[in-house]
Amino acid sequence: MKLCNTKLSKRESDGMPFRRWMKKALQGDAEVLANGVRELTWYSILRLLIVIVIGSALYGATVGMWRSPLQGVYSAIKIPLLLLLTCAGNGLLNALFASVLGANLTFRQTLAAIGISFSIAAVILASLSPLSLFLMLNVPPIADGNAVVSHSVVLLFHVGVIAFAGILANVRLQVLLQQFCPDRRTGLRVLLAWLAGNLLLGSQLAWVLRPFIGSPRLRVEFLRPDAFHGSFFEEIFKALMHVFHQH
Amino acid sequence: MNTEIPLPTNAESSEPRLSRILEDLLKRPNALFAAWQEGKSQGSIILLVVLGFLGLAAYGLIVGSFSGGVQWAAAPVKIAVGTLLSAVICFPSLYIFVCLSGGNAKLALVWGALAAMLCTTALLLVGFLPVAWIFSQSTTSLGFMGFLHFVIWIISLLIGFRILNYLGAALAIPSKGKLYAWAFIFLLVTLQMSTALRPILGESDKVLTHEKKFFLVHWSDVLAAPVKVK
Repeated sequence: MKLCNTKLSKRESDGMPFRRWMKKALQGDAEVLANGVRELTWYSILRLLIVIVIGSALYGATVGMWRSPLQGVYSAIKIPLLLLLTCAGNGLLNALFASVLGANLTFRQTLAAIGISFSIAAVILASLSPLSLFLMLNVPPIADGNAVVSHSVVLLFHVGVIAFAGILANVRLQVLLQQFCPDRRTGLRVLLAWLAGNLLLGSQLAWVLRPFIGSPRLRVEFLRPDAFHGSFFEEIFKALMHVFHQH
Repeated sequence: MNTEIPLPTNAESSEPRLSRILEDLLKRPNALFAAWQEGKSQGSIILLVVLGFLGLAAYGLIVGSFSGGVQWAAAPVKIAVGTLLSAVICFPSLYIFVCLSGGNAKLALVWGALAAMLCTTALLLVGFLPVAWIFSQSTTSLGFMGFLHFVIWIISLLIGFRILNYLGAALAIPSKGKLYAWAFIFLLVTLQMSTALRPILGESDKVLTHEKKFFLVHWSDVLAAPVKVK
């Protein structure tokens, strides 16, 4: 027995209600994803922005909640900000990569493609936010003697969930890119270039906008006083040097 | 092209509705799926939820009979409500995971599949009632009874998960990896819920504890503690 599971033609996907469109995008319907880029309007951009903001804010609230409710509010503001700033900040770079590497995408269409993948990630994160909330309510609190261990558990959980959402969203982005690239290899190169650029900007933006979870040893604040001092990769380098120096 | 799914005609007229739904649940889940996907028979979803709740509560009664006292009332409520709460927590991710797997399921179908899964699990637990009861009345070892209930829960839930298999096949999902991942997450949530709502099996002067622990930490603490008997 097969329930209805067919992909839509371009004619059928035009004028589709947004909720149905989002569902088709999650399913990886290539035609629907491509039409989301081709048939771009200000209204569709606004809807994508709303999905990104609400979905990532819901999840962001649970990220900071373990540290304190106020940290939850701060993270609910900062995670959507992180996604939107990454998308906007790398817009030109990503469009240039697309052009140089052979994808048939304009600047607006590049922004739309990345916005669609971020909205898919936001929907996945939103669907996992009840789970995240449940975990935060069960993790031993800050006042407990094992706060450092709890912080590590919380950190690993959120890294895992965000990585999961990010990977799935990029798998959908690759499906979308295949519609605008002459061959699979070109699509893969464009995707990897976008990922590298977004990782570079996104990681540093995450560093500047920290804290998201909130260290038990530091107070709750929107941004650290030294937000613009140092960088994500310098800290990774220092941590690696510390580890190897110890040995 | 939509495929019309003919509902079994021989079961439509003579059998009472409840027994027909249970028979479909255990032997022909696809019949239920077809109706839910078409937006029909939504009352059967509520019926399955109610049956599941009652089955879980019945099993909770046997769990509570080990220690008695306040657990006679607390254990059935905690097990039934805790499981339903776990389902509510995990439902959004189930719907999204079905979509991500390529399945074109309506919300009602996913709700129904979740209700069917819980009801199947509850039916299995009811089936295990005599086993659980006899051990509850025989042994005084808290650790052994905890282990026994854990094994019964795992078996019942694994059989309940077959509903996800049927769902994946009905929706022609090419790879059920994400559904299995969701099933694992659901299992973990139910195990953690049992720790969050403790004590369920042992004696205690408090209905709930405010101490927060991961379920693995709690179990290792219990195993490391001196042997407790009733």
